[in-house]
Amino acid sequence: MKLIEKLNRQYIIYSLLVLSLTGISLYHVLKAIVKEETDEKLVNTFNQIIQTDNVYLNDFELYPLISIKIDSTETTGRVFTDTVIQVGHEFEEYRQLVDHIKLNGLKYQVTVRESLLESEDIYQTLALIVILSFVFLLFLLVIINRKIANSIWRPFFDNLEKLKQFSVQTQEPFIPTKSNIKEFEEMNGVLTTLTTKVISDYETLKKFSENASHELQTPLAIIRSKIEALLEENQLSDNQIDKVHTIYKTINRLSKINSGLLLLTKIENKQYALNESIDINAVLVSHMQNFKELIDMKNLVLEYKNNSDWTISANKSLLDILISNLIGNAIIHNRNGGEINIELFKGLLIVSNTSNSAILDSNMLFERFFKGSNSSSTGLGLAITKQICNAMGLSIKYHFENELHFFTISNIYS
Amino acid sequence: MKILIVEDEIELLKEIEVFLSKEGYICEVSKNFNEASEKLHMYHYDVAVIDITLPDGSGLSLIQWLKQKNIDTGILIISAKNSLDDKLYGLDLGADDYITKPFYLAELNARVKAIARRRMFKGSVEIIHNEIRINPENKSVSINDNALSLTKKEYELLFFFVANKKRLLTKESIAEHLWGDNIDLADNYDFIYTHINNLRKKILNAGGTDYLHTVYGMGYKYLEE
Repeated sequence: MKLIEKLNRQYIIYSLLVLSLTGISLYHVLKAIVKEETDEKLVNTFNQIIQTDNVYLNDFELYPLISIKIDSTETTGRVFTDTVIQVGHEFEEYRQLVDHIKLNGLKYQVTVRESLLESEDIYQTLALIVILSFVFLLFLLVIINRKIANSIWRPFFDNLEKLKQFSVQTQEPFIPTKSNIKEFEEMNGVLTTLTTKVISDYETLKKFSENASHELQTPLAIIRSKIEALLEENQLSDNQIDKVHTIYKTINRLSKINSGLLLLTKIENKQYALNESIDINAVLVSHMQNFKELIDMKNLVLEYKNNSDWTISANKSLLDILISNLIGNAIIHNRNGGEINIELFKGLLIVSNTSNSAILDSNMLFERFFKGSNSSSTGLGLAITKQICNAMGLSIKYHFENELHFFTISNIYS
Repeated sequence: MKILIVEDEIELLKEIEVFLSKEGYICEVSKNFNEASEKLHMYHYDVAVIDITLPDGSGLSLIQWLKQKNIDTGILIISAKNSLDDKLYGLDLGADDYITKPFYLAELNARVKAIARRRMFKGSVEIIHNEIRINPENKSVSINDNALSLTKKEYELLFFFVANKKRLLTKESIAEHLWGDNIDLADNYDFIYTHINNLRKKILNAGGTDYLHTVYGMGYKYLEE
């Protein structure tokens, strides 16, 4: 729920509560006052009646307001009651006073009544006032709230928007909108400190991984050269060769992982300028040429359709890696005698291939160290492919259809 | 032919020296910038293999100095930074080639040889080994004066072997030499086997000798006889 809505709702609930409480107590107070006034009026009338001398009180009736009749029953004293009396066809509410007096030795019962119609009007007016003020108050609240949201909360929402846009990768610092509210300023201070720290931590981490990868290259080169020298000596038994070869293969894998990670870090650090205008068709053709022997050896049928040229602003080395990864994967993961289809449109490149492996998990596929059935691969190829696409503002998608694995690269970023 | 190797990692330096010495080069080594600078001032080398990151300076300055003095030494840069900027900058300065750590010694050897040949014979000389003649200029091969039709990769493969005669070429180094390090061949080294077999067959069919020997489990060797 939005803050404004929440506030509005709370205000409405509380004002409704307060107003109904006021309404109810007002009603009760008013009712008591009206009752007292009516009773006083009844007493006055009663007094006027009995003070009138020589009046023939005998059976006087002014229906329904006054009625006097001889009554010999026991007196019960002065009694006030509410009653409903039929006047004509309508029933009306009356307040009545019943008392007994003795005059000339005779006992009389005197009843005086007063209509309560007027007080009904008062209650109605009261209800109207309460409801009207409630509506007015509501209206006022909504307006005030909106005004508050627009002025006082503005910096808050501005900063929220900025925080949403914030990314450690863009390296743009978070600069909050100033506010003269102490709490907001405090929050801004905390957020600025936090984001600055996040950015600097991220930088440190990036530097660390890049340096670590760099520093590993030389030891790897030493190990590799030593193993090669050992193998050159030609004095090892077959069993020893097997073991040394395993070490050699592992070192190669390690160095591939290392250079893959280094490449990923470099792309992330935007160390490649994307300022060359490159014709994708030409790159595709040269890589298909480069892999020609591999394609022939696996008896693959390669079909390439160039529907329209696509020239992008990119980095030649990165694009080479991208295309070589795509075609290389389509060859390596293919089955013998399978097919590879490459289709190029303006802004769209589709590579599809047959394979022994079933549908791949498209959510995991582009993750680092994701390995399909091939456990000795580095698991970085597609992560690099995806990272290159990101860097060039392209999208890459995978899907499986008609026993074919499809990789689609397009300039529509969705 | 004299080669200067500038590399601050002594162990790696040793291996490069041993490897290149076996190829018949006279190798001198420097393990830092000052030493290298001194040697370059005093002697003339045909090829200098220079690591860019040195403890007391940048290998790039050495290249700059060589070029300023117009000294005709072939330059191969070694770098741990697979950084494009370094590469372009180094080549701009006048370096002949660039190799990234960790490299295969055979690959380094092939590059040094290519630089040396370009420097000494301006690349025009044919490489002749018994009945096999390789012309690096137009990338053609002939056996007993009969032209041998090879695919681009087969040519590169043969060339790599001839540059590393009597050396063990592992499947890994061959794969990287032919297809670069971007493609992850991993368990697919049977590609290499097929490839070498094809090359072998072509040479045999043309009446040549099979110099390509399989080294158990590891790779291949080009033996002279």
